[in-house]
Amino acid sequence: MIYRYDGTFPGFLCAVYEAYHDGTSGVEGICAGPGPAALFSRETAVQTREDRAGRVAAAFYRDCGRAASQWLYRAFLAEEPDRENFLFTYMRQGFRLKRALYAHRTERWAWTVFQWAQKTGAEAGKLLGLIRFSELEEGLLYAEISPTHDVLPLLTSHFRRRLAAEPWAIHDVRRKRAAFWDTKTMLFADVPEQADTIRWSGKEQAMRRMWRTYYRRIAIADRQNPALRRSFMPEKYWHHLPEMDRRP
Amino acid sequence: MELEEKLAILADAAKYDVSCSSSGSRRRNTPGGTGNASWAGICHSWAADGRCISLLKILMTNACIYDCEYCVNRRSHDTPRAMLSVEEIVRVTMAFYRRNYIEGLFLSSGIIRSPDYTTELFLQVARTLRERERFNGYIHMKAIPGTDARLLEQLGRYADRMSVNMELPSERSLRLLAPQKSRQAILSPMKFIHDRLTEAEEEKRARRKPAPFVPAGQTTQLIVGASGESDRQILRLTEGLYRAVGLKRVYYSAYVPVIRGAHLPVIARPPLLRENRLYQADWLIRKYQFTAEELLPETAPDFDLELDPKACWALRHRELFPVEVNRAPYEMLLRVPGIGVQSAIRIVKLRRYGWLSADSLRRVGLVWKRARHFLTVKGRYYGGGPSLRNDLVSVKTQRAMREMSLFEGQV
Repeated sequence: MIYRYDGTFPGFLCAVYEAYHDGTSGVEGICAGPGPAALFSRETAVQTREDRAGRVAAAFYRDCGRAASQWLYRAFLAEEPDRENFLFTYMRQGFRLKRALYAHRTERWAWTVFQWAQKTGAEAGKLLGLIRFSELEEGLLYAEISPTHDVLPLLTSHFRRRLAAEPWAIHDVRRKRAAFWDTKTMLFADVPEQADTIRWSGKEQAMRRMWRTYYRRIAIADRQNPALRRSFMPEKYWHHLPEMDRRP
Repeated sequence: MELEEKLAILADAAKYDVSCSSSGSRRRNTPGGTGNASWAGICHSWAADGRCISLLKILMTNACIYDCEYCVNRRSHDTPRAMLSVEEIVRVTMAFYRRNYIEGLFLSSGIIRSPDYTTELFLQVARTLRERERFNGYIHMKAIPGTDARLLEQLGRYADRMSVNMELPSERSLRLLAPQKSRQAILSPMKFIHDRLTEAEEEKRARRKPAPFVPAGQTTQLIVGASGESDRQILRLTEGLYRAVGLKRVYYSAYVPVIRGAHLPVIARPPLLRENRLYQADWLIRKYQFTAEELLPETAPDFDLELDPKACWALRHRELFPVEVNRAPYEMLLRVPGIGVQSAIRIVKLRRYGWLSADSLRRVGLVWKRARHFLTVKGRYYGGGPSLRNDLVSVKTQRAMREMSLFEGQV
């Protein structure tokens, strides 16, 4: 049986739920979205239901603990090819080994998951610092990101605590999704169209220029080290950084 | 003068202070306020020299009544001067912070009129940020030698971290290069901050809530290469400071020859590799239970620039190695080149479940190429051979050494 789900994490957990319901020995694969019709396998379209996803997540957490659950979620967000089958193996082993899952972390199936989780975690950590908000005309703080891994859900809690009193939005322009905080609730939404009507507040350009000036002056010329800078701050992030703008 | 121009001059003047971290404080967001502090600290950008930018590091003014020979802001140096008002500093800090450019403010200054007067201005900045703007981000303030203890006490209520820069590692070089400062004047605010922090600890132990005072502790900075001290002298001073006044960090700043002075050395390039070795040794003292004496014994008072201090130590103590990875105590694992705190913890956790094999060890996260020379795995030794020294010199160092030989001389 091939399980087709909607590509979301709850969707994946529902596929796992159904796989366990049908018996895991019959699982030939878990795939996101529609694909070419399989000739020799049966297919089923998985329905995403929050209650089922919640039950699977809670069971895994109960059996394997917090760290192992965090790896699972972060490894999923890494969006590596064939993630579903690696993660399904990981979860099956987890339900079998329970807390002893940790002892197997140097085996290849667990190690791969761990590496993915680390990559996602590292990128999220980096972006906590590298996100740049701009002030819009109506006062909203707005940031665009285009991360390699799907880190948006890992960023919001930090900014909810930090900038609780004002509205802000973080827009993943690559995945066309945005998180919006209105000072009371957190909202995630698909943003299919790039908004071209964004108007900066009057102070915005001056502030960016001031930051750029500061950034250039704080470097010690005798210690120039572009390779070191690139290793901490890879070029793929420069596009969204006002300080890396080449303008004078 | 335009604000932007002032910012340029005062960032320029602040850049030789290397402290940048924003860690060690858990300050919470207050209702209606802006910001919080992150325990681990957050880097927000990296400048063209590869150093991280975490705080808005700036001087209030680069005009100074002192004339310390090594300092770019000394009175006799012909350079443009500027001064930021309290309001300007607050405005820029808030605007940068909201845009997530910075974690907070690191304010230092040349001495205006007197240490007390300068500190009172710092106090105004800190108070305005915390009380009027309800700013809960990170604030690092310089404690200026010679300031009244009462003012330091007040400043410490608003700041997350304070620092007093020692700059010159010995009394002799201090007399030579900064005759207006005395070692005693530098040590006394350090001592004061330490005593206050100890009191707060005791309060906590007695289950009383102490008045807030620099929760992220204090740090200092030493200039490397402007005076004649050996690495051993510097490292022993560092160790003494960690023990005696409980510093959180000592920062090292390779001397950059930007200004001339009769007592300053003439060097072509800042001693970056030496600075790097000092940082490595500093970490070994703080996190790996090494002592300065072990890393730099009297017989070897300076670092080997080719090998890191841990590898050097291990090579001097071949009689202790190899250790069996499945049995060695945690403290010994920490001393193996190629094993860090994270991998040592993992090894200890993993071997509870069974013996580790050489194959699984490679996926623990240690540097196998280095560690294999100092370990046995299930009794078997995988190291030795002619590549030993070569395996211990990092690729980065090899490149740096090649570059340096092109310049010859100053390291």
